[in-house]
Amino acid sequence: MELFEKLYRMTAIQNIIESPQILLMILIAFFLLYLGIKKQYEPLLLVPIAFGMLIANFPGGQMGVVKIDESLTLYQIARDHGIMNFVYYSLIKTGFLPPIIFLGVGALTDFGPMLRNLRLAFFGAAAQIGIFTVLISAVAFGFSLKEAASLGIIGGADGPTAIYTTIKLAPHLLGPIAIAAYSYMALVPVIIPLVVRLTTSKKELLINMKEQDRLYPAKRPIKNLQTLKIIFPIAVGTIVALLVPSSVPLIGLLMFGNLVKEIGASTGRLHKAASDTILNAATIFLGLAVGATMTAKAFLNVETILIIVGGFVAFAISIAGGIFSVKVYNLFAKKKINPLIGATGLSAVPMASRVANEIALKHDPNNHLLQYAMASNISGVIGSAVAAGVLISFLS
Amino acid sequence: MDQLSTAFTLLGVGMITVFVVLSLVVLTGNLLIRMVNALNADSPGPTSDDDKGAIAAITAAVEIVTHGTGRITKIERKN
Repeated sequence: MELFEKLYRMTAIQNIIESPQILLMILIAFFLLYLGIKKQYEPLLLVPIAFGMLIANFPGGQMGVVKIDESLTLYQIARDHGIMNFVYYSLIKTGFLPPIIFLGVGALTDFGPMLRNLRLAFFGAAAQIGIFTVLISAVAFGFSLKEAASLGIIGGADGPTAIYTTIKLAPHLLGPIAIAAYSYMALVPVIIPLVVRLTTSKKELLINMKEQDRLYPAKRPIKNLQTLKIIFPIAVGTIVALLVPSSVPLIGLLMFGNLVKEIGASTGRLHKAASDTILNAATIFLGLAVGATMTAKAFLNVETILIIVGGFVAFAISIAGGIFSVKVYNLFAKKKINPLIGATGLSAVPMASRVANEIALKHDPNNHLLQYAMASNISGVIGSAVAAGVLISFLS
Repeated sequence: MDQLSTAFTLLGVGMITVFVVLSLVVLTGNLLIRMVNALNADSPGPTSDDDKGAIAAITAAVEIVTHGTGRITKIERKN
């Protein structure tokens, strides 16, 4: 009998009976796994996050992230609180992994479309409006400034930037903010068409970018794009470091990753490592550790619901902000721009551009605007990282 | 109330900073284009659509054969 009692106590069943909310967290983890695996919603991140959440919620496994005395050494954390807390406090809480992911993103990014259409980069700035408007609304709803800033940054539509800002400003909200950020990024094919339908006319969507280029050709065609693409990340990295140093961990590594890509064969091994091994390893640890912060105690509360709603609003306002900035530009410019270019001013590269291209093709099968959309889309990555830098330097 | 006014300040400062930084990115990009074009004054301008197709095919072939590590430095016509 004693043996059976010991066996029963060995399992997690007793804890689950005592705290049934654990069961709800496990069900949410299953649902997120379903979305990642079956529905293909950002599977590279949603699957590790959901699995991290699943294993974190089984009591006794020591896989859930807990609040601990941060003066402990990493060895003590691993020994007393398990390996997931070791990963969280060494790689996430220190802010190490998001910049490493930016390194990989930089190594996969092509600044060519942006360099060919530099004026479109401005719409990447306009589309950051959602971050700051939701910050104000969240403060009005009772969030502290740091929490509101972490919530608002979801509107930047950039997972690593949202995670980095939250780690710096409101680490206790990391789980729900990461989930909201990545869920809405996965829902870009639903959210962009919805906002576009509500804010643009058919006539505006029919603006053909190639036709506009033919009518008003570029004044300065690029003679040596390859050289330009090598100098560009160095120059941008330097400018951003000068003006917003707090965003350098993100922008600096983004530009470094891009530089080793553009140099070519002589740094080919670095490019391969950054875009493949390092990026993939960082994604696994980031996803699992973020998922492990979502224990029943940390996740099941009103704040989480407000974050989910606020994140959606931030996303929608950012898209609308980009669209309206194009509309204002078109009032004064001869060379018109399709408002879909503004809709891609939030990050979510390259999905936002692909969705914009599909909408344009639906209205006019000859209107291929992917390259143009990529210009504002990539500048949106820089814009959201700069916005994050401003928030961190003002509030931390 | 105090927090709200800080939030409004952040809206102004944040949006202005993002616009300034991206304006500088655009400005720098344009300056770099001028500089690189000046240094490549002797090289031929943009190629025709036919050439673009051929260059794309050659680039893709090199990319596949070298597994992304190779780079084309010069393409010459034989005749």
